[in-house]
Amino acid sequence: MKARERLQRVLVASYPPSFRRRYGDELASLVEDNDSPWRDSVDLALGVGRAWVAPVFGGAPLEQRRARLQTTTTTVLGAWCASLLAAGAFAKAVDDPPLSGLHGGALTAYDIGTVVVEATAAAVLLAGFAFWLTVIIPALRARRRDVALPALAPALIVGVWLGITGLVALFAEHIVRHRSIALSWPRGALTLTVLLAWGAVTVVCAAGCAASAAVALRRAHVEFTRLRVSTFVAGLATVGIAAQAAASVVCLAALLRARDVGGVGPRDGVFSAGSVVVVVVVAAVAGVSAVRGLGAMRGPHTT
Amino acid sequence: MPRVADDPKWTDPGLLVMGSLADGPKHGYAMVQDVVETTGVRLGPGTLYGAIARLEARGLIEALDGGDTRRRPYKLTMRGVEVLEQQLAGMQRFAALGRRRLTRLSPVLRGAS
Repeated sequence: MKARERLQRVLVASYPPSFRRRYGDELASLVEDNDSPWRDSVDLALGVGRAWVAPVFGGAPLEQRRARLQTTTTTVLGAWCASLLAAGAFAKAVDDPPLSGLHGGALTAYDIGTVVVEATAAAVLLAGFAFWLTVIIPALRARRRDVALPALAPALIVGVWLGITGLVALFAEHIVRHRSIALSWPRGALTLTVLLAWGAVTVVCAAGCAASAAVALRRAHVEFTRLRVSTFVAGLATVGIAAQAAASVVCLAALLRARDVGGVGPRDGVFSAGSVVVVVVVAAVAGVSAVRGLGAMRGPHTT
Repeated sequence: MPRVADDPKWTDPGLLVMGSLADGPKHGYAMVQDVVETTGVRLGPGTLYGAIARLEARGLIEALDGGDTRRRPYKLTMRGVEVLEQQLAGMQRFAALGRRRLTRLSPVLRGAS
């Protein structure tokens, strides 16, 4: 198989699941029949981008609206997971240990951001658990393993992550006790590798939780009226993510202003700015998706 | 006359797909071939299926049941026929008006040059 054909297969597989289910076979067949030039690969890549940014849903009007609410729920869930990671990274950069510039307006913004993250997490976890029960119980009763397994996966993933985090915490405690030995070569490299690997595992676990929840929701084919509830919660979570983004931006701006008095160093600056960029981007993504989802909530509940 | 990239375009992919289906049901590959032959525009696969998805979601075209899912044919719906007729009538009016204006303008331009 030529490199171009491999690339085009990857691009066809990159379309959103709903688009792939409806048009994937036809699109793959067209690409094969065409002996498509490289120009078609660019066209496919642009098509993938458009399909993700402005998804089109087929079927009857109510089914189109149902699919819109489902997409909003899963998109905001993914955005919330990313915002949690960004909040952790931001806290590590500015508050562990606390930067000298973290006082006054910067500290107020940081504290507000922390409260917002915690409140949003509490609301999402509480509402998410109640919603999860409405998916998992019917799936278990109907012995639908295709729904139950991905619905249970986030709990399993969080359990594994907690276990790994516990081991890393023990390792970190060992480093603190034997700091001079642990930071010497080659143990220093091992320490850095373990911490970087833990960071990577954390990102993979968050992505795994969001992805498996999305798969369970898609397979369960939850009805429109129940998805209105999850979309409403997604709207609230989006407000939380947006408030977190605003607080992070204000805090970072105040820290950067205080740089002359040791507010933030280059490493912490890059780390905290990176996490702020992530949370601003996911807030924008969640915002667009939530507006579209809340718009689709209006109207009759039946065809 | 050679076309340049900045020329205004009437080649909206959705309109081209509907224009192709006005000739009868077709699958994706047949639509691409038909549009190339009739207009000289080559629709890429991403553009074509993006347009098909939007038209189908708006109820302007529909897939025909049965057959090979890899070569599913589409046809215009009644609503699609109405919308295409309106679009073409609007384009026809615009084309006729543009031609009349050009006819009046041409002697003036020739006189100026």
